[in-house]
Amino acid sequence: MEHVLSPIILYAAIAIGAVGVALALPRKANVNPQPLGALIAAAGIGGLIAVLAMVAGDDRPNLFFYVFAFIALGAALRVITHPRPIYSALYFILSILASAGLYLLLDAEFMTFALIIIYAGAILITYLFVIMLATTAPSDEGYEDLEEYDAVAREPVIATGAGFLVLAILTGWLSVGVPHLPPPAYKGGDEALAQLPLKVQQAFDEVGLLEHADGEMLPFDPGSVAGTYYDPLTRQAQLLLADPSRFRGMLRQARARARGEDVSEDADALSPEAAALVVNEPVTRRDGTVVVLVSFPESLRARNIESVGLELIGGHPLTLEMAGIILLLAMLGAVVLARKRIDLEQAEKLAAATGTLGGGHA
Amino acid sequence: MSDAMSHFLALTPMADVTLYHYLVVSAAMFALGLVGFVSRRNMIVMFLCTELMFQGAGLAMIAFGRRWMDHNGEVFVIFVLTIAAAEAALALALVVLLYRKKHSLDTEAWAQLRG
Repeated sequence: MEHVLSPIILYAAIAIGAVGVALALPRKANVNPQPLGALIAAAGIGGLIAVLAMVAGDDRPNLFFYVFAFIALGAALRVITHPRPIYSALYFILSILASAGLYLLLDAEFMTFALIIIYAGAILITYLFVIMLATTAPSDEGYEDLEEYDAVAREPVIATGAGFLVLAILTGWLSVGVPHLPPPAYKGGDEALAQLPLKVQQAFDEVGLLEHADGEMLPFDPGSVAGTYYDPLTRQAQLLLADPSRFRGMLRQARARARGEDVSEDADALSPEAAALVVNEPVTRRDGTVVVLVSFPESLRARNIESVGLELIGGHPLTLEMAGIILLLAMLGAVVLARKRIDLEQAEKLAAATGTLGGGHA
Repeated sequence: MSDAMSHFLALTPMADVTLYHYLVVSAAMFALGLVGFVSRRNMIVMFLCTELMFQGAGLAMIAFGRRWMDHNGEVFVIFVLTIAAAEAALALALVVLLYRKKHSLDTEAWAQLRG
């Protein structure tokens, strides 16, 4: 059976990591093994990633992957081993920032910034508020004033064993399964372009394809190109020119090129890159409109945020509404849970209800 | 057009070995969160560890989305983020409520529930 990585190396590295994490969890002892444990854990995980880099050959990810992965996992280790909750939260922010870097390497620009703004900016600040509300400020640098539940972990060995067993099973199965994934149906990330006609037309406008007959650039006018059909798979568009008189220069040259004539002497010649986009000879239809097949400029791509937005709104509208409702209900629930109950005497309740409380004669 | 720019524009499918790298990091992050959730006794740190597990899952979804050239992975992460925000709001309200009653963040203090 084909593996990405030899199972012996994989499980050995995971076992070393597990020993390190078990040692690094907080405990009360005369000899504190925490720094040593953190080192062993880092060696285990770092060794695993180094071996992966060696087996990957030319397919290995970019150098920044290793930097961000190291920061993300190291910070995650400190989140679970630091005895002070506030430092755990700060290390968690560091871990989030490094994950955002990994997202960027995966071409998910929108999620990168959403993650930083929502997670590091909003959720973690809420955590910090609650930590400050519910934890006493440290009096000195040492850990003597820590609460007992912060200073001592519960069952570090069993917990680490369970967690790293999950890790070993996951990575072991993935190592067998990932090489057998079917190849992706290559879509080039351009499906979104079919839904962005204005963007495509603007791109044609920028290369000068929709230039006026007298060489004068028209301001971009979607009305002059009607009924456009975009095929994002072949990256070609069928432009239906409603008013062909405005595209005489382009049409004349397209016809000349189709006949194999040299158009370089033409004073109004389209730029070579614009002319190269015209695929076939323009066809005049019975109603006077002209159909011309053109390819997309090479630089025209749907941006990540456009694809994600179309997928989110177009593909999952109901889920989006439900997410909104869940957030609203969570807010109501938080208000109901965290409010303070104030016990009033019967007379005060009666007074408050009739509005006679206060005013100096209570 | 510079090489870097054309690399950004022409998205090519990711190699499976590269995918495996990201999945190992995501699984390790999930496992660290799991270890922390089971072994730490401070309620706030436990909830931080659940967020760490969300992060691991999110990284796997984005990596698979990149592998299949499909933006659904990113959309799922948006929903995971939403649920994480809702969960954080409720969990922290509970923490405040429990802290007010016993002045301790220890989960062991709440080992026995009385109706």
